[in-house]
Amino acid sequence: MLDVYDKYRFLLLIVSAVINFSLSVMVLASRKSGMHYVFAGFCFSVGFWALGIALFGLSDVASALVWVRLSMFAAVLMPAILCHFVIAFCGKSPTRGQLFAMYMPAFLTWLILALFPSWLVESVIVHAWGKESVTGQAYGYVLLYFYVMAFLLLIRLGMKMMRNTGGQKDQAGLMLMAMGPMLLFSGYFSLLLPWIGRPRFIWIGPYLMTFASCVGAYAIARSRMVDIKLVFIRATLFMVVYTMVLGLPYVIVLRYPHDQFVALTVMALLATLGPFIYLYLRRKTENRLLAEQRKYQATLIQASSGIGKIKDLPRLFKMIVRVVTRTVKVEHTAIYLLDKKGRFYKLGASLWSRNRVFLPENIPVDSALIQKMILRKKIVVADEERSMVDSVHGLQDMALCNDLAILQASLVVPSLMDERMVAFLVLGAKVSGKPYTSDDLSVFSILANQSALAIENAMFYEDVQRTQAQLLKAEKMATIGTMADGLSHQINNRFHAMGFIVSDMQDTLSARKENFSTPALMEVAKELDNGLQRLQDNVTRGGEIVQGLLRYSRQEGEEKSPCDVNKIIDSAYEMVQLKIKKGQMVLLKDFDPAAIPMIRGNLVQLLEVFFNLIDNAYDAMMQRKGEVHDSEYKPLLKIQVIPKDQKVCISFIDNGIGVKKEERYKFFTPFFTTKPSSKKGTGLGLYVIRKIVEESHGGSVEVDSEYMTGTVIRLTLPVVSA
Amino acid sequence: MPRILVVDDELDVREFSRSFFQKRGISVDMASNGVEAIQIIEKDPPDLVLLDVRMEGLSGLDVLRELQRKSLKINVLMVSGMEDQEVVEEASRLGCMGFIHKPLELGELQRVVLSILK
Repeated sequence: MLDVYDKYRFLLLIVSAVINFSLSVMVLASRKSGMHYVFAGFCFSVGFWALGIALFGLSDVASALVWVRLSMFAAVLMPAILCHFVIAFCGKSPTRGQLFAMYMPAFLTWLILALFPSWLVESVIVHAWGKESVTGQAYGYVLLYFYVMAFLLLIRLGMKMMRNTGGQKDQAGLMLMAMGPMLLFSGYFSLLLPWIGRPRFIWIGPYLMTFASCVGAYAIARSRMVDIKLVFIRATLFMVVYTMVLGLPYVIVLRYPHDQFVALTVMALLATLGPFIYLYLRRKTENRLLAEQRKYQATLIQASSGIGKIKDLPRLFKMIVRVVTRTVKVEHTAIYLLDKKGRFYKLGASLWSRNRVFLPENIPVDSALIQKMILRKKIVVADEERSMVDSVHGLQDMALCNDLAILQASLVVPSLMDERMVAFLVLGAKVSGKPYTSDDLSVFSILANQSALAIENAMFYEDVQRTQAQLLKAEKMATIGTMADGLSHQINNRFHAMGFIVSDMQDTLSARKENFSTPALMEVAKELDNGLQRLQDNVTRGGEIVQGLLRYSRQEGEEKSPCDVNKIIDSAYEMVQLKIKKGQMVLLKDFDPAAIPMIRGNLVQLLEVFFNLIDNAYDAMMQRKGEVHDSEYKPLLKIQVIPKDQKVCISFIDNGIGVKKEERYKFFTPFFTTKPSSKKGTGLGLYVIRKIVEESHGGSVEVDSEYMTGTVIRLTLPVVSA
Repeated sequence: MPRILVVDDELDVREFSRSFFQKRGISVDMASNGVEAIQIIEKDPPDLVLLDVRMEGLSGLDVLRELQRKSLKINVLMVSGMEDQEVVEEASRLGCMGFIHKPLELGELQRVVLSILK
């Protein structure tokens, strides 16, 4: 009759077998790549090995022999498959030669097992303490093969570890530490010892290998860079807890075979409590170990809610970057914002811990990195992207890795807002060299998305401020306009009064002419009279300027209606007649009134425009007449009207004095005039014309002028739409 | 001697326009606001009123309305800075003879006033 504890050992192996089979299923479920298939196969063979040895221990002698032989199938496959896995894990596909070298011995062994099983396992002997499997003459070679493979893969892992850095290095290190000792020890206990006649520990091997497969499965199925310590702790906890949870009931059953009720209750209890116990222990240990990480994660979460308060965009960027760099202690952090036109991402802010990092100012939207983030809407982990090589998903994305290298990024976190990537965060490696855990990633995601909100907020606020500024400016202008109105009247009144006063003085002077008897006094009187006349002129001039200003600041009625160009020209010309003496200027209307469509405009305003233009033309021509004494000179103003598309082009062509080239740029400046100061003219005309034509009517004004030749002013005004 | 009434809230304007017209053989009454103007017109109607449009209290238009209400037919010339179309139209409707603009071209003022007084 077998010792209870003896049985327990082998029951443990059944548990291990179950664990391994589940692992292989889980690994395949997470991702179906070449590497995953191989590792699943490995888990399966470990499970099979465990099962074989378990059943060897638990069954009778005859079956035991069968089972132990069957277990050899798995035992010999394991190192080969593990070697294959390590090659795939290192990012390569094994060559045919390699595959042959790895698996051939295993298949050979299988053949031997099938045909001449006694060469490997001769028999099973029953002792008081348990069963012993007696090894055959060929067993030694199997053992050799096992250890050769074991060493090969350990060397390979070691090399990978030395060649890489960061996450890759950690992963390799993990595998090495998990696989290495486990493989060696399990080989020692389950294969070597029986060979040299110490078979009592045969059950230890598969148990140890299960640990290795747990660690391995965890590392690759999670597909995230993991902290080694964390993995070991979790795996150990898992193993321990579940060994207790599943094993304890069995022990009870075996110890107290009649108290099945007790056993069942205990089992039910433990099964329920199992997960909680595991999670509790996990949290406790991890909190201690990950205290630092938890701290900065908490800080980041806190910062996330705080950043919403910052409305100034540059400050917001600086803050985000500073928070991440300082709390998480990374080499560098940078944030990029989507440009308004949406063609590239612009560097918002960056900060580095130790060495300065040169980052590109702009990253175009069609770059590989951006496209990937927009597509997947997930964090891009540089290490992962670099290690991506499997037959299903294709080779490394070279462009993507290139982009990541330029940014020297370990992580790139998108800030998403309504499915749009408003910005993204670039993180360098941690200063400590530790990899980023999944917790880290989820915290960064939170921070990034909060940032998106904050950024949108800040930009909106900027817009609001700008709009407000504009409104304020408009209000100010309106106020100035109102003020200008009142003020102009006040100023006008002053000129009015001055006019009277000066006139009175002139009257006095002329009335008292006889008092200025001597030539000297007459001279004085003449000078005074001159001065007063000039004053009077200035008064008049001042009044006109104010008039012009008032006209400019007034809001004329903006109503538009269909207007007849020809009629307006005639009316304007009539108005000018009041001023000029007929015959002094010839007006030539060079168009067919019937062919001109109605234009859309404000009659009063257009009248003013045309009046001004004709008036200006007249003044220019008179000026030329005065300055150039040419008897042949005939002042002529030609008006052409040409319809074009949906517009009408009206040209005022005069042969007046024109404007010198140097002064042309001042054309549309208010208060600029080339008219001599003694004549009428405040120079406000063209400025007002442009305001009316361009702003009020949506047309355009063009000027062409040549000194001593003439001036052409071309207006374009819109036609009444059908 | 023809008599005109100058209605303006500016002292200088009143005094110097009086001086101006008196030198030209026209006697001048003065009123500094609309109320005063109406009183004077009622008591002793002048041959012509030079009425400033913008004044404190009763504006030039108000004066015109009041005159119309009281059916006082009198020659009125409005003196203005710069007025809206509506003001001009209303003033014409209320029977004013015309508008002259500040600052006045005094030669022209003289001509216009003398022609009216004929």
